Amino acid sequence: MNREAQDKLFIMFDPRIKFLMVILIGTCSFLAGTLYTLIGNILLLFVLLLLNKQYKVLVISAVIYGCVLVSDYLLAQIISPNSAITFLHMLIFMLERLIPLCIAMAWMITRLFLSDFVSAMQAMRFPNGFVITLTVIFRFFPTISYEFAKITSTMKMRGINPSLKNLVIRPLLTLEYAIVPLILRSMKIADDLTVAALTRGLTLLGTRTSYRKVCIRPVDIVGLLMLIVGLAASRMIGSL
Amino acid sequence: MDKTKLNIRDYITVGIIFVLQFVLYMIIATPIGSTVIGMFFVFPIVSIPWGILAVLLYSRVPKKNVVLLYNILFAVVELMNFWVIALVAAVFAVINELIWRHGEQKSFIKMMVAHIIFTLSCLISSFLPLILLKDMFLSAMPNYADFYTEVFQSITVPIAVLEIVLLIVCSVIGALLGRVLLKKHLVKAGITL
Repeated sequence: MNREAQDKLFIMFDPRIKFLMVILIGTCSFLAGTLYTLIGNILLLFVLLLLNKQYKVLVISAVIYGCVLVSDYLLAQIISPNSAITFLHMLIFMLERLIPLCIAMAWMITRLFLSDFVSAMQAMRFPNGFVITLTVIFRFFPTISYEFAKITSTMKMRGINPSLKNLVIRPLLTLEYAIVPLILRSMKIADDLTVAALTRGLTLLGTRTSYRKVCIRPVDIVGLLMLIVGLAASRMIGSL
Repeated sequence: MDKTKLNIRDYITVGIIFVLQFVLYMIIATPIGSTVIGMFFVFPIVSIPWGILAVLLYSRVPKKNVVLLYNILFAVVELMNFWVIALVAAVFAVINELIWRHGEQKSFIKMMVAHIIFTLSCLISSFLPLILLKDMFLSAMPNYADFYTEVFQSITVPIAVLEIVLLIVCSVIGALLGRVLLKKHLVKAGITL
């Protein structure tokens, strides 16, 4: 589905606004003083997922975060905590603040058009090398999981799969068998991507133009303002 | 074309190795970090496979700014987490680049030092939230504030020192392992010179 068709179906935010929204959600969740603030932030994220029609991610996130909240409640009931409980409490405390960030990143990457991202970043005068590297990172994430799945299945056929047992019995060999093919494949992909980038003229100097106009639209401003208001409201509710 | 400057192939290599590093972190850290004791061993363990990737990157791209770019990407990812952590990671990236620029970039010791500083920056950045959020954590648990204050006081210094020493040792092992693997597999395959 092309960008124009998706524009009609989903509320598509500008890549820069998406990035800013993720930073805001990450920072506000990280500095959330109470659980109510965190729950408010999570609900805002669920609204963003709904707008993006990521129902599966929404359900999975809700279940995982629900489990973390229940664990927090159960740990708080223990009257005499020992050192293990303390560490668990700290772990839960950190998870409560990190899960919103992971959900926000999953939201940002979905339906992120890389050509729009490159145009937007170049319009902001970011160094070309930095933009290319960031674009490669976004582009390569789905590929790596596919490549690793292929390598793992081949390793399983040979009885050297990266299982916990193999990792304990022969850690260095398992590591070698998994990493070396992954590196070889990745470097091959790097060469292919280099050729593709050269073909698309990414090394050329001068101002680049783009087929589609990438700009911050009223819907982006409204979305960002609503998010800021929502985050402020959840912080206020949390501090009551 | 200036061969001392980073070109498009180098940028793509940095991006891909960064993704590999991230994926390895997720694969290793998720099972290990889910246990209480394992949490403290995540970065030392992860620094071993990261060493392979770091040596590969630095031997494939022995140029100025590669360390800065590779380390600053970590800061960009952390920017989405909390800006203070990103700032610390960015400062470490600049320091690492300055050390990298001083002298011959093709030296293995230089690569190892760059790797150690990077893993240290990751560790310090990940410990930072525990230090910064200590008061918030204590205020969230008013019933156990005294108990947790004692816990924080007793574990912070010795564990941090032990962790840093362990991390440096593991980073050295990782870099050495990287050199062995590079010689054994990747030089033959023409991946590195």
